[in-house]
Amino acid sequence: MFQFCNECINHYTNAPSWITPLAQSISAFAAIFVFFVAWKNLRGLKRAQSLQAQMNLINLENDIVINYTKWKLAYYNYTSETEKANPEKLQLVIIEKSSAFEVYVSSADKLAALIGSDFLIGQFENRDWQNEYSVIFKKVQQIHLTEDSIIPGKDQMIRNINQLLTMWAKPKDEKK
Amino acid sequence: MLLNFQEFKTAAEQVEKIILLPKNADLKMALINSSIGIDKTKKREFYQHMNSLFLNIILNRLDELGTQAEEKAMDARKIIISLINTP
Repeated sequence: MFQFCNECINHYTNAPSWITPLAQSISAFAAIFVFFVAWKNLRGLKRAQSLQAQMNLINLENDIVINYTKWKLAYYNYTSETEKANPEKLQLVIIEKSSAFEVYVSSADKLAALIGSDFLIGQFENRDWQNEYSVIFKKVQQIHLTEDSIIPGKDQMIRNINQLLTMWAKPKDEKK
Repeated sequence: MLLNFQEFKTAAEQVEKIILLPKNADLKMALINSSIGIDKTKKREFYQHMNSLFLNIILNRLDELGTQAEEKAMDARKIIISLINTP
């Protein structure tokens, strides 16, 4: 295509002999410039994505700690209210208990999804996800298994945690 | 259907009894027997309350209940879920 155009210029305009190498140089320079700009943009995008991932990660890690405490509190409230036997208040604490469970488990599952995705690869080289989170995720798995709340889609709530724990349980050479 | 005050108390007493059972005791049988005297329509609520009490044992990590308490509470919770979900 490039050659064809130069031939056209030569043929129709009868251009001097130095025009062709000059046009070629300008085209090459323009291509390099375009490549450089694209490369710079890509690096900027990667940095922005990396920052976004870090922010999401920090938020999720905080959420799990906060939601775990809220969930524990909801259970304490429930058991203390049963001693007062106030039916109206009891209904409220039952709702609070189910909701706290749902929020806690789903925030842990979101974190498992993020860790299990390829998105974090190469971004947090000093962190050992398996070491940090396998015990926490196993605990969430146990709590989920023994929770009696009737929540639609309860079985799907810890899909990512199950996948991640299965992957971690495999021998190292079988992992991705 | 909500339990009445006496039934909440019975659930708490049964949880205490189950935690103090010997290690090799039949937990499932103990849990089934624990709801004797509770109306059929209230059994689910009764077991749900026991389940919450067992969870509190796990979360509290009460030392006076002994080292086996946490493990037994977790097993009891699993059995309760199967009892609740079995028609």
